Amino acid sequence: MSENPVLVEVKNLKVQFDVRDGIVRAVDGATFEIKRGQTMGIIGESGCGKSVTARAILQMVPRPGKIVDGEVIYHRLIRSNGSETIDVVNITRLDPDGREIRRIRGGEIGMIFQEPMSSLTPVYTAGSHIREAVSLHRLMPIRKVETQMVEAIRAHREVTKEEAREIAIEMLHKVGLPKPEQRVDSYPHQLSGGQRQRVMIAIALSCEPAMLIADEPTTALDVSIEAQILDIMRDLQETVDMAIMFITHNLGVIAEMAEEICVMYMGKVVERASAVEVFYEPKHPYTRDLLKSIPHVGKKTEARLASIKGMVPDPFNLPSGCVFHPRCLEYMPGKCDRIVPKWTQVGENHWVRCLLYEEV
Amino acid sequence: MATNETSAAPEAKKNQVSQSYWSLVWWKFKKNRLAIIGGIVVLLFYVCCGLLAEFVAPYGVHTESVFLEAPPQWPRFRDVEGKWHLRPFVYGLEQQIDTATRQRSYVVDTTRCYPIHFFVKAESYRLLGLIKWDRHLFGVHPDQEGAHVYLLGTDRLGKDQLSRLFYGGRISLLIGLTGVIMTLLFGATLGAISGYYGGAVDMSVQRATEFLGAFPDIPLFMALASVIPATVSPLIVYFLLTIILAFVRWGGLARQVRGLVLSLREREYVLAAQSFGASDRRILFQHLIPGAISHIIVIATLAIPGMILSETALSWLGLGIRPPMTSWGVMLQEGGNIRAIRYTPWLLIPILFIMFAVLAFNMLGDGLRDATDPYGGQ
Amino acid sequence: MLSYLVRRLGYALIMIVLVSFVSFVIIQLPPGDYLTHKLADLQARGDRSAQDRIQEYRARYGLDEPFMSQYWNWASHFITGDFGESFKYERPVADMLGQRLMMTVVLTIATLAMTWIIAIPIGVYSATHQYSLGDQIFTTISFIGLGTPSFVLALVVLFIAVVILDQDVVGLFSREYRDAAWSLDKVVDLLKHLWVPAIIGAFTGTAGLIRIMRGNLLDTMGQPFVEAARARGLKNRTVIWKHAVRIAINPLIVILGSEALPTIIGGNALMAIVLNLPTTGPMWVEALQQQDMYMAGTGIVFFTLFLLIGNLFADLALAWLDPRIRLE
Repeated sequence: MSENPVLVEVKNLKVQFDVRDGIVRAVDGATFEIKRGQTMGIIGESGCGKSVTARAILQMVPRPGKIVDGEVIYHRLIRSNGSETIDVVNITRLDPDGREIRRIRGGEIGMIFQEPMSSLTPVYTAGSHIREAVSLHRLMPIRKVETQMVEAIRAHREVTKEEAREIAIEMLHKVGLPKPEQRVDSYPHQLSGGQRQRVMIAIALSCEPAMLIADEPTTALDVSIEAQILDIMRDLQETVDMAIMFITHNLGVIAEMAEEICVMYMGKVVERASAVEVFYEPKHPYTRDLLKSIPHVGKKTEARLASIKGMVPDPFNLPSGCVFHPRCLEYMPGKCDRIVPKWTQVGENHWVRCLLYEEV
Repeated sequence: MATNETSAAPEAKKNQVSQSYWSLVWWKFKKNRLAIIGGIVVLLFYVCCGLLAEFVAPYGVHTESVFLEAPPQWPRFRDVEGKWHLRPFVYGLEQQIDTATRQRSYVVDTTRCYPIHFFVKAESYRLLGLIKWDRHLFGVHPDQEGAHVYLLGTDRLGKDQLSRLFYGGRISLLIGLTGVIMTLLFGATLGAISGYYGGAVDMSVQRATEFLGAFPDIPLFMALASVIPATVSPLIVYFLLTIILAFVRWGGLARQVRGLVLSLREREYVLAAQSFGASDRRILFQHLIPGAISHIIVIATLAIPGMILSETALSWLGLGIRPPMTSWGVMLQEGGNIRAIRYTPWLLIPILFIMFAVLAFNMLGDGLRDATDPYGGQ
Repeated sequence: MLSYLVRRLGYALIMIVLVSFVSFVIIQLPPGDYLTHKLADLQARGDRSAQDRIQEYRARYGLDEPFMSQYWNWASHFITGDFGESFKYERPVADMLGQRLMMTVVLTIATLAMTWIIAIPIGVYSATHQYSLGDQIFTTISFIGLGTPSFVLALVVLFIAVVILDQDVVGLFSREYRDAAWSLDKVVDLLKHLWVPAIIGAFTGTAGLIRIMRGNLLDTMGQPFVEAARARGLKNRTVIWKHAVRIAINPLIVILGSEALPTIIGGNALMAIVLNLPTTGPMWVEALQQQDMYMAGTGIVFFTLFLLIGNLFADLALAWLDPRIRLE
């Protein structure tokens, strides 16, 4: 468990979508913290709200969605004249098109997406993508040598074109792209899926963000390529001390990457703990079912592949009480269908949302 | 063991699966208000002009009168003395000829009052070509001497414009419809053959289509239309014209149908390769074929206005429908010159009808396209 | 690249030859020819020597000769730049068309410019403010525009001008300037008159372009790279114009190419007839109606020529704009 200071706090976040057939509560009270330099994994099935949570952090919830409650607090670290101060920014209060949030997007919190095949604009080269981002977010310090031979950073200026290109090549090299001097002028369609994802990481990294949100970054890639990308992400994280919010539905991947894990179901966080505890001492029945569904190589298998029984409920017709109760193996009739479970602490840093651990 | 799954969810899912493709289309279509309006207007046009023109029009299409190029008579409820009448009426027109300039002009004659009656007995006709009848939707009382009601004025031969609009609409709208059907047959067959066989057949059909496409419309129309001998009956002219219109315009449709057939073929092979069970193939056919048909319906609906406009343009140039047969284009020919605009502007009213019809078709076609698009909507 | 160009040009050449032949055929299709019309015309006016004069013309133009030799005669001269003579005006076709060409080009450019300047911003606005009041208004206007061919709109405008405003809007110049020499005043006069036919001609095209731009942009905005661009902190305006529109506009370039050049000859001929404009369109339609063979045929050939060149330009432009296409 990281003892680092907190970077981003998500407090009781609620995001709703107003569609023709009713209201969909895509995120219904999500609470967690991401610390500096830490990797937080968010795991859940499709449609559980993890991607919407990620976008909410950057005020990028697509229409007709809206943040209706809760807060996202970002602790911005400012280094000036050798001292550090924390600037607390309430992201949920920022104008989604305003300058404040645009400064954060890409410059302080970066994001990479699931579909590398189509996340880059087809008519611009890898280099121009990086250059565009860098021109927007990076400022070069104008250094002046004082009488005591100490570098004093007096001012900042924007990056020049040549410098931007240099940075681009350097970043492409860092993400492991062979022949970066040539690749910098490649168009997206000239690159493979794995290479494009590396470019996306390079773009994100070139602005030296404090956190990277990775929304299923390897889901669309081959397993072998996936392994490479995960390696790059881990290496880079160490070198630049960047936090990662890693969203996936793949338990194996999250086991590799995350220090802390949030399990989401139908817009709610149902369990949060360190990765070790989630895997070895899962408390929520949903988490346990998820873990059971991983097939084990080598084990005797007379049993069928375990799956969670039932289906994901209709978002307009949510079950009463605990939203998971129709599919829960430890369902307690009379309780789980009537009472909504609260966020309960069950360990030093282990929280669950389940009536099994609540005193009712 | 929990068994009380929410009953709502599986039920809704069952309903969705059992809903056929067409009922889904209809459900989606119903939501689009513009499309419904478009559909109703199109239906109204075809019923009033196509089927019931003889009934709706107060006068026959060939009925001439002495009131040449008379202006519209406005229906009123209130007479010059300020009295309100229950039944609408029009005032008669009196012709005056200026002896010096030999110009004809009309003056409203308030002494002659012609009430408008409904379901009135007038010229007899054959409804739908079969049933002999003589009732008209509205008109003047047959016993009233010298009564006339020209709500939209008359043309150069004294024929009632409103009646001509209905009869002309029949021709214009039917050309639109039959032209597109013929184009479909032509183009769809060729496109299907081209897509299905591929290879040399495909190439040659493609080249032919491109060649026709590179040729400007107007000369083709004009040349082909002017080949029709002058002595041939207007009905035959009508048929030949439809064929000409279909011939010139099949290229676009052929290309689209070819694309459709190609994508259909592709899907079939993919299916075969994945060796689905026979029952699945049936389900997919239940979706594929309706999908193709729906595409064709949309294409056809959106092609009809183009056909109507082509006929209008041709007839306006004098190369299309020949008098005494009338269409909106022919009516425009009379009204669409500078002299007519200055002195008899009411002859331009067909423009309104044309625009309404085209607008309605476009709204309908657009709505159909949205409704049949499987990935459309939010 | 070079082989591609050569292939396209060769293909275009074959097409032009074919078109010239077919156009020659279809102009001759209606019974008789220009001279039979003229003969009837002259005789109606009581010209006694009409018969002989017509015979003279017939010999001079070689209209008695077999079809193939007539065609060959015309075609072989065409290549050298001699497009034949207009029967009606008794002057070389090249002169007649050339005279009107400048006005036509000016009008075409004005119309196209107006179409694009109006349609693109409105299309973008419609897509970015989907289902808003503005979008619905523009959509309705587009529908109306799509259903109103230019010559019908010209009639309506004429009606408004003549009956309601009591003005004389026809032509591109006021009476004083029509035959005057070129001067700054004449140019100003031209601009004053130009915008009416330009708007009328642009109306239908604009309506169509708005719908296409809107549709394309809506599709493009749903693509992941647009969201990715926004996530990098770009301004909304930058995301829309520099990334989304930049991609969405490519198919429209193709449309521009295939529609722009051919209208120089066809030039919205019907609208020009209604408004009595000195462009090539009306002259060409008249030639077709009267079977003024060389004039009509030359017009058709140039129409096709411009169409093919326009398509070629459009494809080249598309390759230049979209790197994905280049490597095919």
